[in-house]
Amino acid sequence: MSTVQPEAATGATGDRVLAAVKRVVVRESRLSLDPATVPDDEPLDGRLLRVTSLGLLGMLIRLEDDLDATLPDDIFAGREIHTVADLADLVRAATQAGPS
Amino acid sequence: MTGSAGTRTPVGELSCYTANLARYLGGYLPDAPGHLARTVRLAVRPAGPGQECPGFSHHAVALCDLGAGRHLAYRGTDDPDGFRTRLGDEIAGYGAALVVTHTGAMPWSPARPEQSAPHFTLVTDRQGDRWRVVDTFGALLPAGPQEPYDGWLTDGQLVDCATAPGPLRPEHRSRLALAFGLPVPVPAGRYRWLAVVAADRPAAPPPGPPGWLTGTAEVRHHLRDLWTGPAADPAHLARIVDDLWAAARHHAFRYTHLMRRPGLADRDRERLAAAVRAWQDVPMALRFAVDSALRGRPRPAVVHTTFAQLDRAEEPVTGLLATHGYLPEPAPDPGGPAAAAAPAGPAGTPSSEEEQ
Repeated sequence: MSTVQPEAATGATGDRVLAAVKRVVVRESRLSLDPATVPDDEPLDGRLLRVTSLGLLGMLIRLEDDLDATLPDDIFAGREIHTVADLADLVRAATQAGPS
Repeated sequence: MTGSAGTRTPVGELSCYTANLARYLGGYLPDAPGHLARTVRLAVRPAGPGQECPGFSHHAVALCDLGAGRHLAYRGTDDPDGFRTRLGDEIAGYGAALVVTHTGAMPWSPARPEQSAPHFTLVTDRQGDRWRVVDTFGALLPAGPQEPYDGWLTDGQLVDCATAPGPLRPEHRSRLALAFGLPVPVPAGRYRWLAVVAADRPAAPPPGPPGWLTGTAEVRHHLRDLWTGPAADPAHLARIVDDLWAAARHHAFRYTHLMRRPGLADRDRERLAAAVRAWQDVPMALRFAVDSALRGRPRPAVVHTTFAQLDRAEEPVTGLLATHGYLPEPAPDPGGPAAAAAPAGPAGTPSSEEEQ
């Protein structure tokens, strides 16, 4: 298992978002591990993490609340969210845009 | 209970009624999955005065019509002994029977009693006080994954599965009445099953205008309004989001069925796969919208954007469906938008025999 990839650290907001995303995916997968050890490219539904589509839905809502963000309107319009990094990118864009 | 999780079959990707109905119909139709796939639709009966929820019809033909003067019809009783006797007779006579079970009472379902919903379960054999139960359905439910099941239940376990943990809600009664695409009587009674009955004429076709919206554009306009209009009530919408989940499963099944056709161009397969993904996004978006609205953050644009994506994904495959014998795009309702506002007509009025 690799450690957090350096490209994920895109400033304070990026760190905050990535940390929040890893925290919720670990909680959703019911794992007892340090969220920081989850690789950025870890699949959301793979050998380590077990995030179902309905679990993802709950996570999106939690992330909106935790980060006071508004996810984009096209979140369910053909987007591919397969990894921790995919999810972090989506949320990061929302936090940079700010709450609506 | 003895049994095991079975292998998920293509029809297992259908909904909680149609998965096992497809398997049952295989005893009467040469290609039941193909029949279902080719006749998928989504028609909506807007909730009229006195009706708590819209009606949803997912099939363009009457799936209760078994042909050769035979129909499937609900039967019901409050007597557990009578239920078992008549169910046993049905299996002895026809080789299998569909029972209305309830997910919150089914040991192989993760649904909690308060999440319970009616479900069709196939019973294929009886040996003394034991019943062979086959449930082809498999899906991720809010409570967790429900896997297909194939096993034996005792008399008591079967009766428990057929006993609703609580009163059926209006949306449950509506789904039961419309499970075959057209409204049929659902008798009162604690225990319900489907029996083969003689019929002197073919079943009526599933309903259309007036009263029902059948055109794709009209149906989606109505759904968008339901979810985003000024009268949108998230608590109410939460109760019917599963109807749209079922519609998504049916449409995904239709496209997946066509994708398996030999000789299809790669580009067409990709278009069909895109249509499947677009449909799968619909219930996700609708649940997200409901959950967002319930916490005071309504997201109408998410709903609009998702339906727009669905329109874009389906447009290139419409001709493909017609070419291969699948249900063509229905014509717009003659009543236009006015029909959407009309109260349900006689075809949409719940039968007096439905459970009150």
